[in-house]
Amino acid sequence: MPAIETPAPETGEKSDLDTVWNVVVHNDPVNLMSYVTLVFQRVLGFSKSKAEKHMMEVHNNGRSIVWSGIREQAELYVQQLHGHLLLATMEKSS
Amino acid sequence: MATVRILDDGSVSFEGIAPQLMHILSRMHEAAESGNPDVEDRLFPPPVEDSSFDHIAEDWKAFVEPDLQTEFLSAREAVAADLRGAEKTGEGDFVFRIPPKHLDHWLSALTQSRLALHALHHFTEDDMNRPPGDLNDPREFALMQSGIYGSMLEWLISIVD
Repeated sequence: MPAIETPAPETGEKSDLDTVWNVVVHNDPVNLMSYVTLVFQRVLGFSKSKAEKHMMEVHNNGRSIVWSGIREQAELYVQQLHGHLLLATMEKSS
Repeated sequence: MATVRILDDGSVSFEGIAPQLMHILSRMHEAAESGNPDVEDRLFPPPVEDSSFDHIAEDWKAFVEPDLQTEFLSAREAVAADLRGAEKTGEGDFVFRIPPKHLDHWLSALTQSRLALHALHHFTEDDMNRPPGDLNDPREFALMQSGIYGSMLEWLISIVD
């Protein structure tokens, strides 16, 4: 008896599940450094020292990647960061 | 002289607040509610920079921005309610309290106001590092507002942190 062929699922070149998205926080000269640190702790669950490290990276380099992963979670983090008035975007990881 | 006390229930009590300072605090919502396009752009930035993902930005505008608008408005309303509860003392100054559940609303409203004032008046870094000039000039008054809101924000962060 011939084996039943299972059709391969139709996918694009790369499934969206394979794509890694970065959450980027951009420098903003108005927001207080202490406020940005606090928001990183609250939204991303960073320790104070990790939050300060990323805050300083934003301050010195203009941006910091604060999280990477699936698109839905990245969108949620960007929404929460916007809810705290930080300049945040999401971008596909290269 | 203004004093700040943390009460047993976690409320923050502001006492001896001069009428001029109460006036400045009561104007916290104005810039954020100005409807100015530069202010709107700053309070509601796009979630992507890359224009090939404009569809994400469009969905964001339609589905996320309204929630953020509601969130920001709630914060401003909570702050306005606390300020409406201010009491005038025999010395002519004011006392008001921020209940613990409103502290985050204050952080939001103060930050909204500072960002909005800066977007509205296009303050430069030099502006941010100088004292305000003639307060009859709306731009200089706004610079003073931003400084006061920043000091208050710094202080409240030290409490919640």
